[in-house]
Amino acid sequence: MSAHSQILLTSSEGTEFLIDRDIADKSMLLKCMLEDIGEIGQAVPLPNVSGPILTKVIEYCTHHRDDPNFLSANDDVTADIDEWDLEYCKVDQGTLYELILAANYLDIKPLMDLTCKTVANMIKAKSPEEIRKTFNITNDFTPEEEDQVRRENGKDWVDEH
Amino acid sequence: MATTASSRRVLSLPELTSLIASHLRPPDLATCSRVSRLWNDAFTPSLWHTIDDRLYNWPRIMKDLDGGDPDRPYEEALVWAQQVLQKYGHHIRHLSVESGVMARTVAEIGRTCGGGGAGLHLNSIWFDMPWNRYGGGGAIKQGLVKVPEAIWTPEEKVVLHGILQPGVEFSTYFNSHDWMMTWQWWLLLLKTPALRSLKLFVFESMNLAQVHSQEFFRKSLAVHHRTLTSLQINHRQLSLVDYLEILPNLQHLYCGGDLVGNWYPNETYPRFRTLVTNKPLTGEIFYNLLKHLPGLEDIGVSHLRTLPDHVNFDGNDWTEGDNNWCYRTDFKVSPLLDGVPSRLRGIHFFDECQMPYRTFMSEIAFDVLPSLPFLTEITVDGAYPDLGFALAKYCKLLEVFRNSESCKSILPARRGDRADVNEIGVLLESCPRLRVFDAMEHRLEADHIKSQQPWVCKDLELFRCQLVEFERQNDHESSSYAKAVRTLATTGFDSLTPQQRWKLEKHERCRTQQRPVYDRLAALTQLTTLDLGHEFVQANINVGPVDAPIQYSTHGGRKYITSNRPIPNTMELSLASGLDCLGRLVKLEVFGFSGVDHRIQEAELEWMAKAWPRLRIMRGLHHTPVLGVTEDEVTAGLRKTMQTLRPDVRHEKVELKNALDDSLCRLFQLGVA
Repeated sequence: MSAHSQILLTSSEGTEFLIDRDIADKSMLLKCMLEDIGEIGQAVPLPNVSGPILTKVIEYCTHHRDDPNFLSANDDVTADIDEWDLEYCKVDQGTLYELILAANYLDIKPLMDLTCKTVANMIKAKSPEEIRKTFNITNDFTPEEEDQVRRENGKDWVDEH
Repeated sequence: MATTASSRRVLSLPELTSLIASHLRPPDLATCSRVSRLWNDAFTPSLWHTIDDRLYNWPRIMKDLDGGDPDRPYEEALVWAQQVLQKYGHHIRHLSVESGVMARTVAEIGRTCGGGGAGLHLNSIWFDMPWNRYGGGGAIKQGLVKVPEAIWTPEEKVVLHGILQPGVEFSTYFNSHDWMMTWQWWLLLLKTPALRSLKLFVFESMNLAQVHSQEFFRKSLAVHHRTLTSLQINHRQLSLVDYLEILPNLQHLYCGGDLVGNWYPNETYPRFRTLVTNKPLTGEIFYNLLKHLPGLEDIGVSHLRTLPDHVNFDGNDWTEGDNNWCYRTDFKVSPLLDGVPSRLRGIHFFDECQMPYRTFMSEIAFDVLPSLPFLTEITVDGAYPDLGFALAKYCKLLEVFRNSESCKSILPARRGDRADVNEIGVLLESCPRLRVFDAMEHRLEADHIKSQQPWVCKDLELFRCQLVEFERQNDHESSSYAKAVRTLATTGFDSLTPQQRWKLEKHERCRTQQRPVYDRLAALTQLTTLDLGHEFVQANINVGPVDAPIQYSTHGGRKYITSNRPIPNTMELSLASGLDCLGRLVKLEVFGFSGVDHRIQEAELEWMAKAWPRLRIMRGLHHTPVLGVTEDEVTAGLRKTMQTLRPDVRHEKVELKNALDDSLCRLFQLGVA
């Protein structure tokens, strides 16, 4: 098999994407599949990933295609996110969540780490109300439940901000 | 809305929520759990994943439970703790317990619900001396305790038969609360299947294991916890091979007692990776461990010792006193080391050793190190000539060189020999990956630095070492130099006396000698810690008559609470001498010059305040409170200046890090899932 062989992917809407094999290999799902069954010569359907999201995923894998530490890049949870990755994650929340799901489905660990870290950074040092605003969430607790959660899950044993 | 649907999907997948949560600390996780029902479900498990009763508000709550706070009724707090642990205990995977109440509450839940059932699903338990904190301040009662049979269920009677004999009186260390906790913990351990990590401190091990026998403890682990990968116990004696045989997954072991038993195992244990003991090992056993544990990556021992031939290695039963051993000159290392594992990454010696140790160090240097190309970390109690040479030659991947805590004195006058001069400077020239050079006791001489190869360790983050033997003007010479400069300015060079010319020349020599050293330091642009000195406060400073004056010396207006003057002939650290070269160290967070005979004044502090934006700790202007010694005004004034310039910078004394604690920390982080 040549190093420059190409793979055809089909997104959920049926859009076809022709990508280099080494980029497909960033996804453990595709890598294992291609290793198991060899090159099948027809498009690999990805019914869980839409076209725009697949474009974003391919953009990420292409940017990091020559990264020797690709799999261990985000192991250090305290490390800062690098500039390109930071820009890459400046998307609307819907896209961010879709990216997390796609990275999870395609099994691209560094992309999962990056997107989850981005969500975590949006949560950090906020109050519950601020989080609800940020993520457009309705508070569906009854006042009693809210009080109980506050007593049990935080107020008493975790420092408040 | 798409956002809502996809966020709902993300938050309903535990592997994704735990990944998000891994970037958040418990205060944030607690907030998340209060956002909405969905978020509560998603983040509660992560919030309760790790409970360490030394963190957050747990110590206060546990203190209340121990009856410390009259405003908070004991019962209410206890009920609260029981309720939340009943409700959320099943989320806890890692439990670190220090408080007696927490221990009892958890043990009670474990006992009634079963560790693996509806109650607790623990992966790791760290249990840290609860008895000393329970029931009034740590008095250990000696006496007889009669264990009442009536309180045990029939099921418990079977289990506890091996531990505590009901109805039998026995002499014990613990009071009546303690043995209750002991059997509750036993039940918790026995009912929690498949622990990954277990850490028991001194009294726990004694109480849990040696009330009856260590054998029972080992068998219990073998039956219930063959999954253990990480174990810390403090039995007086421990046979490593016995534990390796019953715990096939064991990777990390810390042993607080003597390692005993068979050291020539037939089988090898490729999974075993870390061995730490705070007791010494004989050289023979040490080399055998290297040989028989091919997967070993880190080994830490207090120190190496030798034994006279006729003394068997059987724990504490020395036929001769500790100090009477002699070195076995007939013992040869090389044949033993045939096939030494090459995976070893770290060797650590925590304590100082007596003279024959140096011989061991030479053996390690020339017989062991050549087989360890992957060594990245080494901790030793000093710097040894052979060791520095061998590390530089054979261990090119070295990242960390660290002196262990035993700091006898850094002052040459007390040192008595000159062994620790320039010996390991060679690492700076030979190990490009060096990140940590932590050798506060070591001295590098100015002329030596200048004469050697350039430093190659461009990624060095920590440099702690004394830089000495700079030619310096004394106070008298400084004032005559000032006079000479004035004469030069007014009446010209020809009017200078030969003595004055000599003063000018010496001044010039002093400055030119410091420049290249500043340059070397300035090239270490990744440095976050630069410690150039350490003031040794004698522990026995007050020994003698009560009203005896405290010994300290005054030098350049500063008081040095040492038996000597400041570390002589060190760098000036003044702007005039070239301090501004260090402006390249923009990442510097810690700067130390304790005990250094420096010339730092207001101008230097102003410069540091600007040049090092990340600076947060300064070691050199702190006040060490010693009875009978008032602080000198010079240091106090400078500290005040710095506090005005940079209120965010903390002033503290040099901490000599405890290498053992460091290793334990790392070891057990590995063990926590």
